[in-house]
Amino acid sequence: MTCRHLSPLRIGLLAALLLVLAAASVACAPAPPTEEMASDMEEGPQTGGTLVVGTTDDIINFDAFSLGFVSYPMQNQCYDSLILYDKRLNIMPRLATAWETNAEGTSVTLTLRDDVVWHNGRAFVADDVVQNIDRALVPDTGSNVHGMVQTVTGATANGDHSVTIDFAAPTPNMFDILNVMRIMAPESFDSLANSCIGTGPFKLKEWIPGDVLTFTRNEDYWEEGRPYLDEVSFKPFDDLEALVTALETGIIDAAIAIPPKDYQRLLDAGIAVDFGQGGLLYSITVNPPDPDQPEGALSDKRVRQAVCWSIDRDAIVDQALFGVGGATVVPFPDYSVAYFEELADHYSFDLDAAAALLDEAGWVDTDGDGVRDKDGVKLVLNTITIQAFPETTDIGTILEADMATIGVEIDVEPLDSATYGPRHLGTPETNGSAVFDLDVTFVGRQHLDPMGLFDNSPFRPRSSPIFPHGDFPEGYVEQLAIAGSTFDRETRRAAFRQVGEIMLDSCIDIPISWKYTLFARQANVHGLDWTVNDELIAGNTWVE
Amino acid sequence: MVVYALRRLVQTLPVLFLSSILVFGLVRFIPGDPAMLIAGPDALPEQIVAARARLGLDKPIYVQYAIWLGQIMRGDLGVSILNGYPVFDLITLKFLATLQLTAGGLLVALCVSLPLGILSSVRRGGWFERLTSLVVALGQAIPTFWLGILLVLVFSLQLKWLPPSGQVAFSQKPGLALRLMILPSLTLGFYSATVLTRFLKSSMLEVMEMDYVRTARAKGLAETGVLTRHVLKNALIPVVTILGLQLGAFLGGAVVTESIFDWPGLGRLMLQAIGTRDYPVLQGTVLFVVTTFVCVTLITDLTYGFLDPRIRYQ
Repeated sequence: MTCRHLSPLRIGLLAALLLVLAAASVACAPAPPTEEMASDMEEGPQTGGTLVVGTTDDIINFDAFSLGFVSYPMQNQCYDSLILYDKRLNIMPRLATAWETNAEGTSVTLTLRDDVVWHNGRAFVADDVVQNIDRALVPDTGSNVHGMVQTVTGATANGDHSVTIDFAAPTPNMFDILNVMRIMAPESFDSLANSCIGTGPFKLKEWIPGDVLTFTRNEDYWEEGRPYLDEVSFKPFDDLEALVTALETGIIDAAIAIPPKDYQRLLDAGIAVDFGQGGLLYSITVNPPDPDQPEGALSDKRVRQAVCWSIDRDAIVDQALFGVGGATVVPFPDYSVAYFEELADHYSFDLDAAAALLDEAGWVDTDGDGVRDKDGVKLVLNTITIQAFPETTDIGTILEADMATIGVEIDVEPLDSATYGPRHLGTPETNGSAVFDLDVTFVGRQHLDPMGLFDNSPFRPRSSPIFPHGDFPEGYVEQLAIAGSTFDRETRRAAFRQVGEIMLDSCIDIPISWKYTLFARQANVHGLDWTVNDELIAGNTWVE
Repeated sequence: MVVYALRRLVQTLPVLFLSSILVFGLVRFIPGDPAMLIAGPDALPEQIVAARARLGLDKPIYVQYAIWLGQIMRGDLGVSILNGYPVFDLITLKFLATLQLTAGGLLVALCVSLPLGILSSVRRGGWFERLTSLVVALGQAIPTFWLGILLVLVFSLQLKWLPPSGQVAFSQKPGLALRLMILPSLTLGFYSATVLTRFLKSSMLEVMEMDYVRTARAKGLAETGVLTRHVLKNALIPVVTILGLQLGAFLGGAVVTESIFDWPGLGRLMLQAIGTRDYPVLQGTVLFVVTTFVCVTLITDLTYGFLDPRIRYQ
């Protein structure tokens, strides 16, 4: 029989049948071995294998001083820091084996390992650390570390394996700086856009932007027996749903920062989900108008306090964070030198109190449209959120619903990263002034030394986008200067107490909940680790 | 025909020039600042200013355009302002993946539309035509993202037959590469399949009413011969136009499909470049897509001559 004799109906049916058969034959190909099919598991770490980690964003470059969330995949794979905090905030040796501060707390001398080589084979020496410090001190190259090294005056090599870092004043958070600062090979400074030379457990093998970032084992790594893996790959997913599905179906071995809403779904699917350190803090930054805009509603402290009374933290943790969080009114954890129990319940969810403050401030609904107004201006607060973290928009939506009941309109505006930055930080065109009323965001590093909070842009005394003219609440800058320049615990507590009271009273920062980074992994992945800042460490990871 | 093709090629130059202005202008109108991404989340104002200067974003927009156009004239699409990768290399890399997905989507579109279009026109008024109309209506109404997610839920999560996302080269793992292609190809091809089915059916019905078809039947030709040699061949001409447009769209990168299935093609490259405001990558990719679309349209036009010798190119 030839095609000449086939009727059109048969041709059509045959074509459709062939398509179905082709699809079915491929679809029914053997599935990958399941967990049950795996042979007997051996005890202890196993060497070899590849770990594929899903991420929510690709890295931007290999500059270790760029501390944005997107940099997390490469930081601890390619680079090492001088010291590293463990989970209990003890200082652990890394490239430095010993450290000694002078009596005044204005310098620290570090003894460096003598058995470390860079990925290009050159020996690691003290001058490399000096050049990294010098790089951090220059605004153009220091990236996010630059803001943290404001008190550093310089570094000096004492031979090949000792370095002294000097500070202009006692710097109680000096080890926080050493903890986050990864050391890059000076010869790579000009090529950090697409390559890295570090001393870390993995060497860069390949980076296809937007597709995959692969590291291979550093055979000359100084830490004996590490890393266990042959390779670790990071795959960015544009679609969060695709990331979670890839985990469920075993396409990837692990994932960083899965959305809170998928926490239970992954547990139900047999995926292990670990909580990170919880060092980040969901909060709402309140932007008081510039002094030349006195008509802005938030220039009145009572309106800001009304927002502070309108935060239903329990509902937010329950509905927006799906239980993955811990409500807090203050930005410091209970072990912190800046934590005061009597301040920890300063605000609660009390819409009546909020409404009374708004009445007192003269914001009332004169035209009966459900929105308060004053001098013909409606009480509408522009609230920006981060698109890449959908829970921030959910927080904004809960606030919108609650404040609508007391006549305040919350205009929630989710922004992508490139748009969020200029609004959050301000631009030269806005004279460094942030462009929002409320910003649902998260801040970090205050879980280490409390001064870490004041490296975050809204609250830093220098170039704050919410106080671009330096018009901070009275006493704020002065008390911070005291707290940041002494090691004396009582003096610091007194200063932090005053700063805490100022922040609560002025309502420029509304802490909501601790943010736990969720690390998900298949059952055969072990030793997945992270720093106190939730940056992934793959050097201790092994797969069965 | 060669002269015609050359003339059409020359005509594309002003199109590409105007496209370059449009692309450059539109990209710069997107709010956002790549310097902020490079400077980091808590950058100081002076760091942002320095990053802008380093990227050349502090220059007037017409100067930036002139610099970019000069590069294009020299065949250089520039480098990514984020990672320093040559834009041309990035496009080449991603285009291969897009080409692979295009082939899959096209195969689905043709394998579905040809039998459905032919049979529903031949079996007019029957249950098959009604069923086809329903499928066509559904196919044009269902959003691509919804279909993609649904396919993943059913075939990956529930039945566990197919992997949900990713892409590998055929040269590395042909079996896995084929399995990874099925769901995105179905998602991409289904809409086009329904569009083509509708056009093929109406075109077939129109041609079947022509005098020469009646003559062919009167001469005693078998129905199969009448349909394949006289009806289908002539009915395909408008279908080829639609197919060309669909092909151009596929090659331009299926942004939604590529995102759902984590397919590293041109669509995702553009999406990521928009997200990071990587201007050179975005401009270069869009210009490449426009050029591809123009070329596909030209090839489509030239195809008419093969299908209908009466068409002459002047």
